Amino acid sequence: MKRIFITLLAMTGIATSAAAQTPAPDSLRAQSKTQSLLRALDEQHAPDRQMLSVLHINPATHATAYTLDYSQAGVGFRMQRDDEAQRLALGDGNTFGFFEAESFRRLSERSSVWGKAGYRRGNLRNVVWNSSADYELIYPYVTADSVGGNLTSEEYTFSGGYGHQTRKWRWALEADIRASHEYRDIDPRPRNISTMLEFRGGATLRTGKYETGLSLAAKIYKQRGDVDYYNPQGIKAEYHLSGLGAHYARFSGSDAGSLYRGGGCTLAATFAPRAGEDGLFAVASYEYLSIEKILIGFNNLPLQTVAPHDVQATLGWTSTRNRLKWGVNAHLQYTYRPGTESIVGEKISNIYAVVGELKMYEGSTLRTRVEGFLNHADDRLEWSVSPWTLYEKMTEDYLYPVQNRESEGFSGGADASLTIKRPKMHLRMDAGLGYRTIFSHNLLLPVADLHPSMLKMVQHDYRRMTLDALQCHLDLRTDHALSRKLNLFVEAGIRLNRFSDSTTGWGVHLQTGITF
Amino acid sequence: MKKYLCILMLALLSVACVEKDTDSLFTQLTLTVRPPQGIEMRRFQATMVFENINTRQRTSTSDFENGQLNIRLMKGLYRLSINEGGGLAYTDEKGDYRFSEVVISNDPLTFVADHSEATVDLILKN
Repeated sequence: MKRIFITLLAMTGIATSAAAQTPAPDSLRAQSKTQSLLRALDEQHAPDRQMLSVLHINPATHATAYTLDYSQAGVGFRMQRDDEAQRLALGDGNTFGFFEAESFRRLSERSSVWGKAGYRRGNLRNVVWNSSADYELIYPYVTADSVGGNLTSEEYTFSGGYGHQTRKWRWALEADIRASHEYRDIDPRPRNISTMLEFRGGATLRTGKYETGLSLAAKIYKQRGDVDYYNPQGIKAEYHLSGLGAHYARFSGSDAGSLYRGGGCTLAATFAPRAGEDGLFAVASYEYLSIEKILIGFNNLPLQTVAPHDVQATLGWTSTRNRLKWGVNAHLQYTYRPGTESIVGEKISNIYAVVGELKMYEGSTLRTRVEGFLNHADDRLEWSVSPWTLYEKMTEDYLYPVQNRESEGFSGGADASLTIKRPKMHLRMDAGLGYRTIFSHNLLLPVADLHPSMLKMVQHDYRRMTLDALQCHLDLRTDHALSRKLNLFVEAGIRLNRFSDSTTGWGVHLQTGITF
Repeated sequence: MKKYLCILMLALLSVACVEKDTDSLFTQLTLTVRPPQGIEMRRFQATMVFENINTRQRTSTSDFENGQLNIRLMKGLYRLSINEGGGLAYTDEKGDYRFSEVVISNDPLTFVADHSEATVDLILKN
């Protein structure tokens, strides 16, 4: 995997250098001499650009996201600790070292390329009831045991895109790849390797001040994993969880290997002002994904399938008056996540026939977020204030024996940023404060029908998800110009969560690198 | 624009308001017990246990009427058994009235249709 990653990284370098070597038009060359990397940085962090980044679901819109070339590469460290895990299956903390590089280059007035590459390695602490990778993607069909422990995790990411503009049309293609490897060196020893490939294509048509776009994406996912025990005395059962406190009892026991495979597609429509202009913008998207869990040790038996549908819509407005910018947007997301289990027939000659399917699990999430920003920038100082509110309702049902878990809450808060600008230095401070309150929740479990330890797991997760929480963060970033084409940056941040049961969680990150 | 937003909201609400269809999870099973050849069943009284082989859930009933019962079970693969003590009162070929405990085959049965029918053969213990 490392070899593939290095090859991909080399390709990024080739792409970037190719971009650099492409003869630019005179007008662009003149512009590039005067443009400052610090201005490009301002553009990257500008709140209106960040609000409009929702449009990047269509790569053709991504192609004109920025007017200035910008590349960044850096190494860093991040860490998170919680007094109690929010979800036992996700652990109560993590520590990662990482490398990240990203670039956006305009090859000419008509075309641009962009890309990202990253690698992170570290560990996840006290992960229980989860022996699979990509928990949130394959949920609820994870392989799990009650022992758990720390996991070593590494992940490689790479993405790249190219966009081209004609007189009225713009089109773009984009590809993402993510590969991860998670394992534990003491019993129980899960080892999971997963890859996600995504290809996107999109186009926009200019009509007056506005551009209307359409994009289509395809995803392919695969995860191969198993759980080993080296000490035959300490073997614990692995369960194939089915949602909340249910599991597929027939195949619990030793895990001889699972394969998750699937794919899906995304269709998105965008409507936005031409790049650099203000006005109304709207995005609507629909995503469908289907991931099947196959038991390799039972002659490739397809056991469970989760097939989420996700609908999102965003409507917003940005405006600029002199040095003052403002914007508002409303975002709505509804995810419906049904899960089906195979009815596995009698075993005949080591073959398990699937004789039917039952939709046993249904999960849904409704999120509505409204946010806005007010920004003022001049040559020496820039400030922004961004209030936000979030309504969230989550429901999970296991249909028989009936189980139900739901919560409904409201969050609100505000973020603020201040950037001090000097000719060879920028200092940016971001701070935010928010509060989440859960005003309705319910848990229904058939206690007598559930495995006692799974019952505790569900009750723990429910208790954590229904707590009110105070959230705050503070981030600092400084950029220093080393030369006309090279900046050095250092970034640090801290996040704190204080829950209504007096437990806390915190996270820190530190990153340094160059922009060019 | 307002029209499209209304349509979108209605579509989302309609998805959110779909009632959970749990009926499709179940089969209405009619089970008949068949005595061995040559004897006539007078009365059958036993507790029948249905074990769902995939979920390991067990359901039991003794609601037999003339050797037949109706039960609502989750669709699946089942192993049937008769609890100790259950038995069959019958008249044999000679016309004598007898009682015997019974067992049944433990071959699994599959019930995946909305309505299922099955016949199980009773085996006399003595």
